[in-house]
Amino acid sequence: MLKKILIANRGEIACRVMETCQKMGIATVAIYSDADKLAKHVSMADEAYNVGPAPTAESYLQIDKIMEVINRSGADGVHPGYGFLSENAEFSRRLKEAGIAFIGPDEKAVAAMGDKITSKRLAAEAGVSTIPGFDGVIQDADQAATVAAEIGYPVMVKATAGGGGKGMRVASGADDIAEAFRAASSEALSGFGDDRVFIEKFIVQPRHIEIQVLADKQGKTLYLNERECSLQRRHQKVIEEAPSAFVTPEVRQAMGEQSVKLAQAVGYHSAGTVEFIMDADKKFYFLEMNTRLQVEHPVTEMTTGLDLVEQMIRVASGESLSMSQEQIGINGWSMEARVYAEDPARGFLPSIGRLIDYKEPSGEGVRVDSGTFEGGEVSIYYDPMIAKLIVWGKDREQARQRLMEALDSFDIRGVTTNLVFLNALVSHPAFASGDISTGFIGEEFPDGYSGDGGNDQQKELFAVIAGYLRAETRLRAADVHASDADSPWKILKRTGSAS
Amino acid sequence: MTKRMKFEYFVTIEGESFELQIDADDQGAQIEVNGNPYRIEGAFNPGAGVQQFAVNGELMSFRITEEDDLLTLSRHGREVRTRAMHRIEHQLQSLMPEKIEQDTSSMVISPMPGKVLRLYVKPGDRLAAGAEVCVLEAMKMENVLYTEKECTVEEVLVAAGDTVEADQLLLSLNVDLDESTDTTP
Repeated sequence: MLKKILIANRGEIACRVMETCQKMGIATVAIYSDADKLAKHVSMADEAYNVGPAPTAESYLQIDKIMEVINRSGADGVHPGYGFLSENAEFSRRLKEAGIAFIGPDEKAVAAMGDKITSKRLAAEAGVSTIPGFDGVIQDADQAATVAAEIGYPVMVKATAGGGGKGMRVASGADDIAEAFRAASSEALSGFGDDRVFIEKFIVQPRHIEIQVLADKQGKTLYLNERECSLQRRHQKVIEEAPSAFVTPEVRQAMGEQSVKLAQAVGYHSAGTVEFIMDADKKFYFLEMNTRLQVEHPVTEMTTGLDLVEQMIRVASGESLSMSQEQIGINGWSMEARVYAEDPARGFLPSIGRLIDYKEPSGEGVRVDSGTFEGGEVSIYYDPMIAKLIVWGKDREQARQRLMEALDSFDIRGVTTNLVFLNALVSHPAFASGDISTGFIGEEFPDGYSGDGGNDQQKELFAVIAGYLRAETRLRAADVHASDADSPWKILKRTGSAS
Repeated sequence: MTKRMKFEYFVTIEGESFELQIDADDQGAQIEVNGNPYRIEGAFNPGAGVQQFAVNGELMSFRITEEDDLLTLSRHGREVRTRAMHRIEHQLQSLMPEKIEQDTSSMVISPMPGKVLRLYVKPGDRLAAGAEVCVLEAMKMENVLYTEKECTVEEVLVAAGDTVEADQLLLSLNVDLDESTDTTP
């Protein structure tokens, strides 16, 4: 078993990984940038090392500096979290050379799945169903137009090195293709330093459903069922759940078995996710494989009872998986909402500042994964996600009701958050009935959200609460100035119209 | 000693008015609105961002923001601004002038803190409505700012590479274009 793990990440995921390390009695090493000196992940760790200035390229992505910290701290394993160096083949290779365990898959699997063109080819070869598209790099706007016409509109222009919604553009017709090509290439260049893009069929009314796989180094590969992440905004997941209300046991088994085949084809070990897009007829197509722990992994943990980080650490330590496919069940329902510092009323622009108030909700079936605290700061340098709010219920409706209450009792002030917007999604009748697609947010909330959607039944309730709060305020004031109660103006007292 | 008081309030929400009869004490209140009775209980904690009350026996959380005499309430994805008033305040309310929104169409204002990555215009440039004027980078995302109306650029107040605050004026525009500057025949 590994003895000391360096977590090459920050924020909630660094804290999440450390929690499991502590539970397993493994020492933890944090790295941090100048901006994160006072961050929660730093105070949680047994040891912490500064790796440079605030910009990620000068700190959290500095492989040389991280290797130096590994050396100094004597860590024997590295958990990369998600993002940053989690899917960086160079980092995996450097660790391997230094004899340090990378808590993730082998670098060959990372490299094979990291390139979207290669991964699609490998998936097809492994018998996984794939989306019709053009297996090659698009050179210019003219070629993009020719290829798009062959596949048939709408098409998606995607960066081969892409991920997280960056470097992706939809073209609905010949008029949009040149702009889509230009925008995707330019975002790809600035985001990943690689402007290669490819084109594939864009599926209308799609649902995003992914399979969690878990494999050991001895060759056992399991699927831990699906997660549905159809509620997305500009290809960024917003609400995730497990299981999916749309997937039948037969479809689940087919998706699971294909995912296992793909994982085995690339010699995969550790936790990974095979993402699929599903159409209205429940036909599913391979999207990509993420060779890391996913942001939304908690919903799988809540419904399978497994700690994925613990399983990753055990696999990296050389242990074999102790459970069999038959033992993987689905217990109840889980949902996750990503709480962001962003302003839905201003086109979801990021909001920065200090968390003047920060109180996480609690209660039965409520879990919060966060990397911050009251007084903490949301800076311009990093992803503006504040926390992940995760709930469990015995069925989908109970989970949904718990999520609605928990969202309403999450107290965050100092930055603008998407909490009200998240609750508008979760309370939406379409979400309640499970009738969602990846286009849902864009269609229902094209201009963001200002709190004015939904039904009006609550107006009377709001009026009651507003009246109650004012009455109670006056009641308290009356304690202090017994004769002066409820009298902002003298005239009110004379007319005696108030209380 | 238990204090008990009665109130008659008018609460306006999005132009709609609710008349409330409130019988309140330290423990809670009995409230009637539109003939519907409500029993509200719960410790009132002024200034708290989230408060929980029992409404007819059911526990409910509300997100609350106070701003002068306006109270913003939110629950289950719905957010409203409320104003609770006495009868006289309510009557006088109709005499108050409407607040006029500032016309910002002649300004390009930074919607968030960030860095000016690229500037596409210089003073004197004639722009169509929806023309790209600059690109702001924040949180690794590039955000393009556009003109609202057809205009000419009057003044450019920032340079590429500048760090800007939210609501900072970046460019001023002339939107009252006269014939002499019109390039179309």
